[in-house]
Amino acid sequence: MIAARRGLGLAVGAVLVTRCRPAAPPGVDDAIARLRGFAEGDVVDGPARSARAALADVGAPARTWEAIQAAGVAALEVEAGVRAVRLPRLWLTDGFAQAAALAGAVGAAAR
Amino acid sequence: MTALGALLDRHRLVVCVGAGGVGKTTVSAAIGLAAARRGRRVMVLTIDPARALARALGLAALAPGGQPVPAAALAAAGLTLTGELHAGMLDQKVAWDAFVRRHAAPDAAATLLANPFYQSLSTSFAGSTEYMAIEEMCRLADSGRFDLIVLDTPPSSHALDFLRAPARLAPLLERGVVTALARPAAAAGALARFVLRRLEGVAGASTLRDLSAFFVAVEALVDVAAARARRGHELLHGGQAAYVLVAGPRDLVLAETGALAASMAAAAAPLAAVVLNRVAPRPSAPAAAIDDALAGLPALAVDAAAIAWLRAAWDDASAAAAAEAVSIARFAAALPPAIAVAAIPEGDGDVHTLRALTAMADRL
Repeated sequence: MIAARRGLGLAVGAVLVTRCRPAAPPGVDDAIARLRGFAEGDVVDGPARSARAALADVGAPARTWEAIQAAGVAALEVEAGVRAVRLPRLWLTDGFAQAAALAGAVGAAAR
Repeated sequence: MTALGALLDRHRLVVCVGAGGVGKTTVSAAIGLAAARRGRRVMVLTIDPARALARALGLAALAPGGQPVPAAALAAAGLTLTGELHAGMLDQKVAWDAFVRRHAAPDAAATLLANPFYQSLSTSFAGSTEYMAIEEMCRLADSGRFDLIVLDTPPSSHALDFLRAPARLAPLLERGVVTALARPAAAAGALARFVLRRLEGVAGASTLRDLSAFFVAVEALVDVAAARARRGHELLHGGQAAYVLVAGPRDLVLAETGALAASMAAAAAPLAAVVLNRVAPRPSAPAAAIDDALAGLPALAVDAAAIAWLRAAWDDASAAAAAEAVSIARFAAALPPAIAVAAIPEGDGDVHTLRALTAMADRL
């Protein structure tokens, strides 16, 4: 689509990417590994061990998808030549509430 | 197995429809595996090369014509099938060539296979993939070799596109049209002959000769194609086929499915089930235990930014599961009761092993 716009002599304009996960800070992979390490050891008791395992089970795929998404958005930004506006993942079942939340995020990015 | 069990026992065909990117090929394979575990001899026919899925099934690649899932792969996954599971990929060029060889006399087949128009049309004509998928489905169903064919259809924005697509080819295969095109000079009057001479000047005489030769060769296949189309219609619309919509759990898809079910019923292709793939899994620990686990992370030398990110990931997963559960419950309540609904939780990537495929089949 970007190439098509350029071919027609049109500017790319703004690039909005929906459902973005927050960028992972450097220590996340290590934190997930530590959660797994302790989950498999006998240092902590049963419920705490299973909570750490559950946290790692949620964190690991989230980190995988975040990395895929970060690489994809970066490639898009290079192609478009503009910085993308990253809109958050929203889990609102009400359409108006979702639109209002997105409007807020777009407005904040525009400022 | 609960939602789709009866459907797999009762039908000869399961037609999986849906948009691209929803995991339709993997769900088709899981449906095939589920049926094979219920004692049926199953062929899963896909149009997607799906290399990861082939590896998961213990195959180097999904080959045209299909092949059985190796016993060693089943044993390694701890699986014992009471039926059989075969998987194959539709290569439309290979399938068209085989169709021509099966149904045309040897000389006509050789002429057609070498014709440049045939070579182009057999790979790029709109509706060609769908037409050949139905042809392959008929061939496999009528072979008597399988109890159930699971057909993974080409991606489409609308599930009925698959059933409508072959109609685009129908005008090309009508006898009157083909006969006229096969003998343009004889069929046409002086004006048409004048136009043809002018066309020769633009396109070249060899191009028009190729085109005419193409239709002469196709003429021999017209009656066969018409008979196969009738057979395809009979299988797809005669009560032997179950249509399964594979979709993501997004609100828009869910909202559209009710209307889709009505239009499929009107087209004598009733929707039998909806498989919602990649549903957000419900996190498996109480919030208080997660709070404790996060509070203990500084002692493991995890910094505050990473802890905040993990907290956000947990909250996101919990919110996703809760929101999707509401949407799915609303969706299932609005569907006609005869339509089964199955939900498959999202994993952390493609299905790479037969064990993972089995876990998916267990959810159907």
